[in-house]
Amino acid sequence: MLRFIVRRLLQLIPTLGGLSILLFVWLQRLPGGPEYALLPDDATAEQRAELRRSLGLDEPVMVQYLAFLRRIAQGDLGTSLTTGRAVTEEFLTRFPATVELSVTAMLIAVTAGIPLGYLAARRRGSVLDVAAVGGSLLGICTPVFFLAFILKVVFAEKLGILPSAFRLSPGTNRTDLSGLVVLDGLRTGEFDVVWNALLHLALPGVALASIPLAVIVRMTRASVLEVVGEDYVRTANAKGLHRNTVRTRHVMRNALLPVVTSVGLLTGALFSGAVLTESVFAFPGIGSFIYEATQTRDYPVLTGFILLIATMYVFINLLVDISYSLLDPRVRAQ
Amino acid sequence: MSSSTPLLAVDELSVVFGGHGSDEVRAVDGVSFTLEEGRVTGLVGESGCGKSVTSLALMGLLPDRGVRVGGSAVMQVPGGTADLLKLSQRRMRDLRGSQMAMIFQDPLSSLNPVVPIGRQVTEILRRHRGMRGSAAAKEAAELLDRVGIPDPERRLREYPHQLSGGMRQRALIAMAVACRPRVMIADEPTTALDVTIQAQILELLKNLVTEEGTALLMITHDLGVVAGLCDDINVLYAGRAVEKAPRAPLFAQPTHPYTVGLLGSIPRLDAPRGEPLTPIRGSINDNIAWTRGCAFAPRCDHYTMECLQGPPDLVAVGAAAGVEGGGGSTGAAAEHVHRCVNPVRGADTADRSAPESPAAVGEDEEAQG
Repeated sequence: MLRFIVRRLLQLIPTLGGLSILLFVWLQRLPGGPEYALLPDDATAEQRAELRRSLGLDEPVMVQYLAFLRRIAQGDLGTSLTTGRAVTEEFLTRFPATVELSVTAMLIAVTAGIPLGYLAARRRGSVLDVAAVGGSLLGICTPVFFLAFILKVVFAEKLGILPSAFRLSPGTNRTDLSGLVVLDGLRTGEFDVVWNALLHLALPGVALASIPLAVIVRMTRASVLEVVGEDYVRTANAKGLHRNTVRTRHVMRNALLPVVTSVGLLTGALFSGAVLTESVFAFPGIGSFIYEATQTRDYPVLTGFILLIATMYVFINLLVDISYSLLDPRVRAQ
Repeated sequence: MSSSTPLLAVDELSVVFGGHGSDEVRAVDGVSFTLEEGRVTGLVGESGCGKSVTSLALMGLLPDRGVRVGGSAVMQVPGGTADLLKLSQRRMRDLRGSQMAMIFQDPLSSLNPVVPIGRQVTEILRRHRGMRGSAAAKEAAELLDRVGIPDPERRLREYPHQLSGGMRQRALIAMAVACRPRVMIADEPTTALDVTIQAQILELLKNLVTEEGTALLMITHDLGVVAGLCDDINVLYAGRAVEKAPRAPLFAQPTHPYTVGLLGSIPRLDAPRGEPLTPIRGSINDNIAWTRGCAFAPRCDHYTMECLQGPPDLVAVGAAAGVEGGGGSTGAAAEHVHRCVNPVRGADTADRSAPESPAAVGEDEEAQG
């Protein structure tokens, strides 16, 4: 098991190496640059060239990339061009918000998706099944920012029952322990803060959950349909076990294995969805910051954040694979 | 045989899939047999003849929708008798595992891959015998030991993929016998196993039947298994019994051309090297509907126009009109029945231990008829 983990962590090196090269090439290709975003419109061409020089952007790409690698080796991801703070610092202040949002979205997707998928499979061809399959198709097809926007207009602006922006209502006082508002509130006993934060999480959480929810419903449904036809489910029924025992121990235990894997893969979709969702709801996480950094061509922030997200992604999938091996003894043996 | 009331009396069992006029498939079409304590009854036939569907119907394991089950299957249960085909799902769940158990064909796929063997044994003890914790674990270990699994305590903690094929089937048998069921159904229990293991598993089943007085319904296409294990044999074709007899008369004087064909298609060790096998020609897809005549007729070397005039009845051997019964078939006539208007004559098949190819038997028959 330890060797497996070490091997997976070593895979991070080529992954991040390749990704950083791609990022450098892409960012070079992007039209414009920080000299346009940072300087006023009436700045002269000389001033713009001077800024590029001072940022080292006039050097050849190879030189820039090597300098970047040198800094990374020292644990330095550079400084944001717009805020002047270290990229790692910017990341750490914003990351808890995104974690909270992503976890909320994944919880919604899992708690709604698995039962829905199960019911759709067991009542195959019923209205519920057709609705679940059709709805999940719609969920996959609907762009996240569009859904986010619709939710915002309907629930926040027309009905006015849910807040439309930020993590908390303005002026809310809270004790900050970890940056995770809900968790901190539960630990300190500030339940009004918890409730306030949950209300703010509702709309972006649902918007962000749409794609994972749709995928989980479909995966669960397909998986359950496959497993109920397996011989061992027939054996369980032949043993006269209670319906619930058959359902949980024999059907779901097996049917959820592929769903667990998909949850790991979906975190990727979650992070990319977070960029759009956070922008729509002015949610102060890494997603909205990446969006702004793209607008201002804040190269250090873009490369730094994206590499950190990729690292997270690899770690989450490592965790998923470890949990998978705990769930499936056949994988453990290898 | 018929001295006591049978443990399970299956009468005119029929299973129809689909159900809209011509789309429907009659998988089982009026099959009757009885199971008695301490006896092994065989259901024999090639794939698609309805033998597995029969067993699933008895166990109540057919899908809920799209299936019509007819006939009756009266079983002696604690406190009276019950028709298995009419019981509620809940009642059936109570009976399954405790009064009747089933052993399936493929031991690997029949075991849950992510649940330890021990759990899969104890769950049935818990369900039907209310055993929990260490008592259940102890009983499970004893059961594994009883079916010949060495080092049972260790095996209980292992998963199906860690066991050999033979051990998996033994584990399934342990689950089947866990609550001492009175009726056991084995659906091709040795098909997925290699020959030496097959023999061991059959021996184990035989001992269980002898020691416990269980009634065993053995479903197989393997006539070797039938010869070694079954007391009474039902040969099924296209959902109907075509020949029924106790073991000895069936092997000595098979009368239905299908049975003769099955016996003739067994490869023989003493056959000359390179001699081709003698299969029954065609496949089960070449049937005609029983309502039009004998379903086997298109594949039969004996058929005459008479075979196509409505469904043949199940009659005692030697009783059918127009058949000069051979000398050997009179004694067992009451127990030996077949569904054939043009059977293979006893005299032709007296030496079943060295059969000619069915084709040769057929030519002979035609020359005489």
